[in-house]
Amino acid sequence: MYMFKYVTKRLGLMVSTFLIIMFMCFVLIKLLPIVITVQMGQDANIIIRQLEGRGYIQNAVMDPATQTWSYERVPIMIQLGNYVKRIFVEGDFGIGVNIPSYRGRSVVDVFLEKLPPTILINLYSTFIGVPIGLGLGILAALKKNKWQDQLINILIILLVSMPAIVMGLIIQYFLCFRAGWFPTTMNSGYDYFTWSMFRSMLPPVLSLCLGSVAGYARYTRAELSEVLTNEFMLLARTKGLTRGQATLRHAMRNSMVVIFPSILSEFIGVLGGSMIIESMFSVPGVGRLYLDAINTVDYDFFMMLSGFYTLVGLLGGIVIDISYGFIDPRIRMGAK
Amino acid sequence: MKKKVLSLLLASAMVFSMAACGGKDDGSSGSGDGSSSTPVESSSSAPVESSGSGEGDTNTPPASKGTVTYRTTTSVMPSNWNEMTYEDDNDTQIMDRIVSSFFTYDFKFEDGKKYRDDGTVNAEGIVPGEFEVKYAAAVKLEDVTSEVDAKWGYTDEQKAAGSYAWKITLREDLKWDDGTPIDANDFVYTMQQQLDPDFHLMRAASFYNNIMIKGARNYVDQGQSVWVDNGATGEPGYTVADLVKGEDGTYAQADGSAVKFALTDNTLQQCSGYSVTELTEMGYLDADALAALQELADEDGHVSVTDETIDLVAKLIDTDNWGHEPVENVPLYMVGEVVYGEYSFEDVGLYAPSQYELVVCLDAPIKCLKEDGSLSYEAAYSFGGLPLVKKDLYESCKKEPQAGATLWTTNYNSSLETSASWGPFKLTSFQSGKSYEMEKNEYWFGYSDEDYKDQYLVDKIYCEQVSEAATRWLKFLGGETDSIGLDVDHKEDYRDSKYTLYAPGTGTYGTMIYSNLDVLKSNGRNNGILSILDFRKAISLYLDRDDFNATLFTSHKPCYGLLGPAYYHDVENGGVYRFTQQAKEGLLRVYGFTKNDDGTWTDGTNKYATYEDAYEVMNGMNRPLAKELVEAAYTEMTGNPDKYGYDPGKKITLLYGTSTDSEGTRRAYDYMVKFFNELVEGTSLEGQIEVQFDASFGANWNSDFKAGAYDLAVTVGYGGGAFDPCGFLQCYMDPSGGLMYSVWWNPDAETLTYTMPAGDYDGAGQELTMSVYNWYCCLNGLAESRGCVQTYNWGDGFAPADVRLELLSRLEELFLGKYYAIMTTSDYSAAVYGAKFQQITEEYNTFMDFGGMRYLRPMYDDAEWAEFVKANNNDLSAEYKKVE
Repeated sequence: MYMFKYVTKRLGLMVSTFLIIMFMCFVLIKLLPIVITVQMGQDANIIIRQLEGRGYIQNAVMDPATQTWSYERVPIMIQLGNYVKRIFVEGDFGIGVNIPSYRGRSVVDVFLEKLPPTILINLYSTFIGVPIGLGLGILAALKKNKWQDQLINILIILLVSMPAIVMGLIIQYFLCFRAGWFPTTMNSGYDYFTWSMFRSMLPPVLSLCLGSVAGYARYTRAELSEVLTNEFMLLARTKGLTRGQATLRHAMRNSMVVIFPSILSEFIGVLGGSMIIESMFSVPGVGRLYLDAINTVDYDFFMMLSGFYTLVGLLGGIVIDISYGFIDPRIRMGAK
Repeated sequence: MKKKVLSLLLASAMVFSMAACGGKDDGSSGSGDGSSSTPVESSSSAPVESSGSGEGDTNTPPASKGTVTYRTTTSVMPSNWNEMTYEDDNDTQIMDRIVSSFFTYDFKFEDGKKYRDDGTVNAEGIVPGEFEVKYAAAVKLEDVTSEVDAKWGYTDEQKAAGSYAWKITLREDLKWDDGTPIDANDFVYTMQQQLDPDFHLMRAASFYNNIMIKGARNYVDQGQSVWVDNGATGEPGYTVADLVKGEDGTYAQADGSAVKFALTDNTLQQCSGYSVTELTEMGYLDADALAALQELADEDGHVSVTDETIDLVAKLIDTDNWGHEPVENVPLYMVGEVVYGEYSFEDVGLYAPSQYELVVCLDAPIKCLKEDGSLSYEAAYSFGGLPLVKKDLYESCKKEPQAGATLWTTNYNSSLETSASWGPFKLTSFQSGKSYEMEKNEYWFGYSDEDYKDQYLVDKIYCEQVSEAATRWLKFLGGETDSIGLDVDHKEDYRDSKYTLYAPGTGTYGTMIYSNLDVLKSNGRNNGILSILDFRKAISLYLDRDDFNATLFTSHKPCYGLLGPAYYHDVENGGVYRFTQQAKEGLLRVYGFTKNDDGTWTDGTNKYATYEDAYEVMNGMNRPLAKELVEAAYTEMTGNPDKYGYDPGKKITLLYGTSTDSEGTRRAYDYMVKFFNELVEGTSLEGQIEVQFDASFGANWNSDFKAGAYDLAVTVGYGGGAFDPCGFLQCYMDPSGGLMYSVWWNPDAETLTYTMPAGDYDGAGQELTMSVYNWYCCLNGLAESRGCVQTYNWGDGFAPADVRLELLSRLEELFLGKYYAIMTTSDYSAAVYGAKFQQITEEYNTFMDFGGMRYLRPMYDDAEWAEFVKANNNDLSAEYKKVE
């Protein structure tokens, strides 16, 4: 019951926070000046009519002296009202306006089309990174201060200090170009679950997960080292458990209280931070789309993707908090 | 012929700062594959830098056994390949391949022998720089100006002159890629959609600004209302007596339309570019009267016409400084509302008299046929094709206006499902943000046409979006793609490669210098010296344009004029403006050469027998004189510190503004810092000038420069309009075009006196003084329609070519002499073409490029190419660096 109340309360807060953030995003992006660019061969009147027709501006006039356009904005609150009405009455999140590759396309369609590669790359990155990271962390903890530990520490320092973009460049040059093990860019198409597609996704996956591997290993080593020195571990051994059994059943479970949330937060972080890697390996994902939406001030794409990332962040926070209760039964969310 | 200024600038582009420094992008620009089936933008037939490509054989592709795929990359994916709405060159990547044209360009072959005996294209027989225009989707073109219905209103003179109405007879085997037949009614339907006022589709303007179809604008604009200057022609269109007084005492036009006095509009002819309010602030008009009028003004600065306001305006203009303008002139300060009424598509000049015949009636003539009845370049250039959509598919793609919006939209030709082709290729896959693939369209008429034999040898085209330049290069060097634009990072390795080809473009760029003293004085940067002509001239004379371009660009070349070497004044005969005597002499005068009485030229030190000799050594530099001019400017500024807002205690700051902070703009900034330090070294200004960098202007860089937010806009300019060099002057001396950077300069206030050469044309032999703008309008046949004081028409065909060239040169010279623009750079692009294919010629052709996709010669099929790449250890960099 405590948990139910807690989750309900958190969800309510999440929705409020989400709405406030989205409101701020809408107002702030709409406060930016609208750039009216009329290229030669284009009729300024048509450009202006289109902006007016989209409900962005009104009463636009050109000053022949400065050759610049002036206009009145449709009040932002009216635009917000139209935007909300469109979403809830017509189920329409809008169309792309400024991103050259997606002009006139439904933002929802584009978003849904681009979500799978981003999710997959991050999932693969997690699936590969977690076991390797945990394994290295466990080994380092068990062999603390021995050469294996030192070696793993050096590796961790190398991987942690290397940005994903550098990792990407190295992987692309050596593994894709020189060795020819992988294609330079991700395959085209929507058949995401073929071997060929998986192979083409591996370079960006490796670029993303190697940094995470270092993070997981670092967390695991630190937590496990501490837990292994606790008295209950001595008790477990004196009860007759082997070292492996004691480590797996008691030490790891206690360590996971810290490690598991880090995996979730790493996943969320990677989801948001894969934009450059997506661009480098030509992954048709949402990361690059968000970057383009911001750069080109494409309102509907910006709002849609801001909503997505905000929601992922807020949900992630709740899931992480709730996960504590499942991992460690002593923790009761919402209990007084 | 009324000049079609905008039409010829259709394919123009504006480049800012270092946007072009990476050379042409291989895919996005379409240059990477060399394809240009519809070569709208042209370039020069000037000597082309070509370091060769391929193996130097006879351009005969080996008999391919398997599929041949051309693979390329683009940095921006096309989003909309609808002919009616496409926005930029990215969209034309697909569009150009899924449409056909009525008339098309082709290489000219020696003795007309296009094919060898074995049926392959006679590559050796291609005549460099020349071209032919042939029928493609059309089989016949007839001038029917004198035959069309009287409702089109052609005068006897127009009927005699011809070229206003054309009948195009279509092939009867035109089909969509699903086999659906195409006839003339489809073109009529499409034009109605193109001009639909509920959509305001992007390319509608092409049909009233470009080929000017009768009634097109009326159809698009129906339902709109605009305010029109009553004194636009210099005489009142209506007087007070013509107006009708309402019960409330307010006057209206006879048809009931509103009429007002305009206080803030600066479009009134009577106010010469200023508004009534501005003229009052300048002391010309009566301030009390204006104050009284302003109290009655609405939010647009308009005042209803009543007896009271008529008296106030009469008082307003009855001042000493304004020459006591009589009360009869009061209507010249009025604007009248014009509402475009309903307009029937029946009255738009495009109709189908029969199933395969299409008649187009134009407001301005286009000479599509030569004297001998063959097709002129204009036929393919201006009249190559009309948009065509597949009716059932298009109807299903219409979208109603969204909430809060009023315009209908369409997503036709924006995805695989919404695409239809009647061109040589069809779209077979499209993944937004990732890639597209095209295959041959088996229903295309060309594949069964003798004239296309041994052409279109590529089976598939695959294009992938790759944003990162480093990734693009890895793919190219790994044999995964077949062409790439040469960029600064790779120019040392590949610029002399036998696989690299260079092509000139129309882009002509320079450094714009903000020179409006009123703004400079108050910008806090202490740089009023920029308004002194001597200082700006010093900048021009000190600049080493060779070094500038070599330092900042991959393949661009020095340029000294407003127009680069890709502007034709005589297309049919390959006449390039930049290489004419008039153009060269104009530049010589700008850069300090003078012509002696005996016809020789001198630069003050050396004497040259001919203008050609002088032009040969001209490099735009005179550094000793530049130093003297800096000193003179310093003297002028320090002698009049108040006038220039000069503070001796502060450094002079020149703000170099850009849209983005990139490696290229940083490189340009470093160059500017070094340049100005050297310019003032040893002068009184040494150590007093500081160049600062500001990359915060983003997409507003253009308007911000015009507003004086920064002082130096480096490598900006315009391109396009290759066949209309006179019209190109619009960019620099036509305020109404909205393109001028130097907005503080009023071409209507600056005069030029010139004695017109003798001859048989209007105004010949007369010494004329008129405003620069008036000269520009006369040169382009716009003087009458623009309401100029002098209404000579020296447009194309109305004055001898030599006279027009001379006028163009004089106007170019005059503007260059202002030094608001220090021209530096001509656009040249360079691309490295992979070994899998070979271009049919290495000589760049304005109309045919290097042959494009049509003539591309595959040297390997896909399987053979994979073997070739493998044999080179997946690394072709050594191969592509080969010079011979």
